[in-house]
Amino acid sequence: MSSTATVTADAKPVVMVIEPEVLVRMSIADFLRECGYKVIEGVMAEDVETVLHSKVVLNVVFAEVKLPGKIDGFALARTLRQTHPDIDVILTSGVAAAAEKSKDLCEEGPMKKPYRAEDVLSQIHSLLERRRSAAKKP
Amino acid sequence: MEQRAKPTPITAAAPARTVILLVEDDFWTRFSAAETLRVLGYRVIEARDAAEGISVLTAGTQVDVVFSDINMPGELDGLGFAAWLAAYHPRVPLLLTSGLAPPSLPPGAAARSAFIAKPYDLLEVDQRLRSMLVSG
Repeated sequence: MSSTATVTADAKPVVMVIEPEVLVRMSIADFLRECGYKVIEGVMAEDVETVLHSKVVLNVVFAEVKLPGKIDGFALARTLRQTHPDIDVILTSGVAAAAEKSKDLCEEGPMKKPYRAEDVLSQIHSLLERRRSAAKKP
Repeated sequence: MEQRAKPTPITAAAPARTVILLVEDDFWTRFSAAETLRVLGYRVIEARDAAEGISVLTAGTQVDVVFSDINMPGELDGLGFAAWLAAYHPRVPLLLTSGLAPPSLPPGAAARSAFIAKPYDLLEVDQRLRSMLVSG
């Protein structure tokens, strides 16, 4: 991945994860932190703009396609490819894709930790299922 | 009832760190607090409002302490969240924060809650959290 090749040995590459569902976001973010990334969390495309207007450097944007607000993942990717071509944009559609692509990103990450996408996915699924069954209790 | 999340191969190798559930709607306040607390050694789960905080806890995530803003948009503000915690997770200590004067807490919530005013010093937050966890 070209953007991480330019990062110095001391600095962690920075991934911004844009995911509106908190249980998915926290799982993916935690997972990527364990792979050695610094992770910034957001829920909508506008959060990426907030970061880009600051001095914080982003190497990767990892975004769900379906986003709240006016800008979806596709529009975000199109904009970034024009304004910040140095930022790698990874789009996901749904939890299984997010798990798979975060595993790929992990394999390119600084820690070189081998993880299985199935493990991330099952962790997410059990969180979602526990919340679902807790909500059903009288 | 609090349930520990089942350990998976992903997290089993990491040493146990204190888990903070950070609830704060302002992007930069949340980001800088979360990053500083991570540098200080905590695992930080970020929630933007009470609804996300409730999702995290309802899903059985292990949370050792909650650090929550009071003034947040949504159906529940921080005080409403404090009342929910007192009802459903009474043993989890809560540190509340606000730019306004400290509130009087809902009955039941006061016992496991503390307050720190904004703007806060994160080293002081660290000290407050640690003393709350020890006396817990």
